Amino acid sequence: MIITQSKPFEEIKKDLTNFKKLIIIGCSDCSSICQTGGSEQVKEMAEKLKTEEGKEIIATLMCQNPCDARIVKRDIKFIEEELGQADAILSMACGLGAQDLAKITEKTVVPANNTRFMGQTERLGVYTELCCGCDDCVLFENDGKCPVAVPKICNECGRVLAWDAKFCDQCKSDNLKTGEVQKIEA
Amino acid sequence: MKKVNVMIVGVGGQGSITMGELLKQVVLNNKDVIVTGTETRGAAQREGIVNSTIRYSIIEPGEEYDERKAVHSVMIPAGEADIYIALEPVESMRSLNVVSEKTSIILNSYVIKPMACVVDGMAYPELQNILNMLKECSPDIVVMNGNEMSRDAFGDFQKMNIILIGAALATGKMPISYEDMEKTIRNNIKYDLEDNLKALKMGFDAYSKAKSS
Amino acid sequence: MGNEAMTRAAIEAGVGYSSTYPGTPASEIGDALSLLAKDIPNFYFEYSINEAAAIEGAAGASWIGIRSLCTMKHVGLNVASDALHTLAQSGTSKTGGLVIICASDPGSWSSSSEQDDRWFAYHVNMPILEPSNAAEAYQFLLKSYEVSESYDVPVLLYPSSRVCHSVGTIQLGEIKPAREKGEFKAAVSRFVNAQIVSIQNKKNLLGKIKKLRKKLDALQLNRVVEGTSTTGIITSGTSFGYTMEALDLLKVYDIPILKLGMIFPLSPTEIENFVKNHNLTKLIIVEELLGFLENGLKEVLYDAGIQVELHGKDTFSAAGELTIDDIREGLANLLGIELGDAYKTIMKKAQKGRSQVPSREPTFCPGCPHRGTFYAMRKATNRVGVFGGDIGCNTLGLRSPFALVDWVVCMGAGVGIAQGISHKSNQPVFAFIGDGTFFHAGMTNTLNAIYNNANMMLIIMENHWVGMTGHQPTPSTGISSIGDPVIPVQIKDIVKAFGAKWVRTVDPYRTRQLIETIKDGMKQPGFRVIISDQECSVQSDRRFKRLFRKTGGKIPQTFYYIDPERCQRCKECLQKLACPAIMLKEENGEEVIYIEEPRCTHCGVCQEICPNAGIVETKINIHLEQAQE
Repeated sequence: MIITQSKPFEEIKKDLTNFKKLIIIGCSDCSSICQTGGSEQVKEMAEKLKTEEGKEIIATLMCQNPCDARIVKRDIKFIEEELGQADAILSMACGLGAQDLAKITEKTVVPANNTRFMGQTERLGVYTELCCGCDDCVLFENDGKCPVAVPKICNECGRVLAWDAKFCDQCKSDNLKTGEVQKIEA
Repeated sequence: MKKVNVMIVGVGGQGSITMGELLKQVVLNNKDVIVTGTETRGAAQREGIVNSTIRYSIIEPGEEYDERKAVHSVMIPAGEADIYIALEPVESMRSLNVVSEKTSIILNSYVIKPMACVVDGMAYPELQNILNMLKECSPDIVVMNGNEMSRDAFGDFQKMNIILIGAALATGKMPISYEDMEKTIRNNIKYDLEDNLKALKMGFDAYSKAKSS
Repeated sequence: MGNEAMTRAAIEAGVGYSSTYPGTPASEIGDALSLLAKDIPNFYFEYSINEAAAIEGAAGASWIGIRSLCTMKHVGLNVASDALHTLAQSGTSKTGGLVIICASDPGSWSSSSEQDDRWFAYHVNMPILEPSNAAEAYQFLLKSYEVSESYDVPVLLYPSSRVCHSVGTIQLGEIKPAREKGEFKAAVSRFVNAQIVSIQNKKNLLGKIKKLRKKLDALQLNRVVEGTSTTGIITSGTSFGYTMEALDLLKVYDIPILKLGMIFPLSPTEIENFVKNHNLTKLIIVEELLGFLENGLKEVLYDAGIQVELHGKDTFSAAGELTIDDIREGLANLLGIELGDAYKTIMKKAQKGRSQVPSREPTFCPGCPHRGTFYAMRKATNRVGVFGGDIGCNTLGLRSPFALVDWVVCMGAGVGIAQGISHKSNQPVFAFIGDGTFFHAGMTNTLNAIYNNANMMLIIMENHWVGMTGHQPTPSTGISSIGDPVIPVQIKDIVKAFGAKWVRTVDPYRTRQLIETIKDGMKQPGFRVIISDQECSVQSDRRFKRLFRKTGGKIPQTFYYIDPERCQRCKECLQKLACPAIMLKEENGEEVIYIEEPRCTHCGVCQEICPNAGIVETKINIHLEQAQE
């Protein structure tokens, strides 16, 4: 699933400076599992923004898949009235959901999360980018383990390069080492 | 003694009991009308068949009460229904023993498929076949979709019952004036009073219109 | 309503103690008394755990001089009968009559059978009054206390479902205040029924009935509708009303009718007089169910040496509810009257109409937790095994598509019969029971099964209410008989105390988890218990709707939607879960499965079990606190 991480609250606070009447929209799928946008997180965020920042939370919505435009179009009908009054939407979905919401509601959307990668879940909080979506799956030729997701690192300048890079495109060195797949640990 | 018999047939949860109760409440303070009747309650209610009977006896002025000619039972004898309100098409087929040429049939065309159709694959009869069967029993039929009328006007199905009571009122057969019914609704219905009164008029007008066309 | 009329009569009679176990068609009496209990001075009311507790408590109050009322449905009398048989011998008291309202269900519309409780009169030696409409039910209840106290016997008032649920008008009378307290005065020769004392008490009881039989007329419970014909009718209860109307429809007005209000004991003089005064050569007994009246009348007529042409059960069926048309046809037949083409045509059309349509059997309401339980059981067991069913909303598990009930007998017989089978069969054995039923009769059977090491699984469906009869509280509800909050009883503690080693509690709305738990349990030995714990959806939905209205919609809400593009038309939700809120329609030549929102109670089980992520959940207002009721 899509792995998201919560932005630092200071950043969210700053982005919301000019907005008072807010709608918070969570995601019941990926962001719920990552615990960055599930119902508990939405409730906590609503409480925090209300008591600490004096924001007015005029609606909250848990959307099954904000990345699915058809579902967004249907779900926002439940909060039609409040959308008319809102200054901004705080999206606790991933980047796909945030953009969908912006496009469909035509309102300012402030993302509460940073989107990281497509991740395999070992357990909650431990995610690994085993696949980076290369569109030419070579798993069979590689014993079921994807080499494409494993970056190369330039030993000279530290630049992150593609898996099959032979030299660094920044410093032109050919002194490269095999890196690690993107990973988040609890 | 004039007798007016009303039967309401429907599916559990559709409100046939509520309708029966209202149609009895409305004459409670009317000295010239005695009412009796019953409803099926209990196990039948869980999405099963729920029927209501309302039997009015109107005492003519100066008339003496003759026990042998009065209404004693809560059931309606064969063919004696003056108004037959079916809240669901298939349900209208199950109590035709009370229907005869004198019966005004009001059919709510909203379909609730029984589990026998949804799960066991039995065919739900064509609405036209049902209408044909009903016409065989009485030529006086008015069809309306009270559920959709309620949904269009009020957003849910709750007002279907009042719409159909309005329609029944419009037959002119019951010893109830429009004002009496409005008053009873005011006294007995706790929510959405204005909408319920609108619903009553909606049903009344829909029936009158269907009859005149 | 008849039930309300009887409730009013009980209050006017100054009843000080009332107990009941909910049962259609009597349930509304208890419900009304529960609501009013706090407003009636010196009035005690309880929803008893079963009819045995109810009758025993009522007898105790009666013995110490408090007028007592015990109400139940017909089969409930079976449960009360153990106590009733013996305490009838001990009588009541001068100021504390004991009246039992036992409501019958001819046609078995809401019961496992339509048993004819009038025969208890012979066994218990107890007078029975049978009202024919709501107004009479009111009058007869008041009379019943007179009889009970004058003759020192418990009295049975026997209204049928058509009386209980019929509408009529009554004149309200004065309310007699109930006694606050009584005092038990020891009287071994009256109360300690054993050996010689018991035989003496029985002789006393027989004497009381004999005395009542002689003085019956004074009570004016029976009456004659005069007529000149030599064919006469004897009838009682709702059959009287139907007979009167049937005769009107047949245009026959000269038949004398003896309407019996007290159907046991019968007064030989009254009956002999009726036959002789009208020179009857033919006697028709119009009664429902088994020929109780016919039996009693034949006895009276034989003893009096009276010969008449007698008809009864040869014409009016002993099984099923007797309708007004059945009586019309029977009387037409006996009186030699043509029914007429008009009538026959109507009945033919009615028959045709009925045969053309699919049946509509009751099923679980939308959102019913039992649906989740039965669905999970079906999935986990694949219908392999033996499945004991019980009484209540859970009985509906016998319906399609679950069809997971192999027998229905009486309260507690699910686990009761299952345990017997489990000892002598290798098949996997399961039984279902609701929580109300568990308290009523299931506990003893469960203890029996555990004590005797039955190898089976019991699924206790704890929906926290006595559902089928109209949502009365039970010890697992957390509300007392008169509406006060109480600490609910924990069923899991009870079964553990009984010795059950494998006990799991699961929310049936979490259906996938329940399936796993059941499969897990199926691998274990011994007596296993799964408590399927979730409130009845009618109650939770009502509460939600009240809150919704109170807050103008400002409460958290959940909605479910079948996405027509994601839906793969596998019909798992439509046909295997079979929720009435899920429907099928044709749109542009395509099948669309959808949730009918006004019927949905938002339980979420359909979304749980959809194999294709086709059902989408939306929640709004989750940041708003739930307003307190």
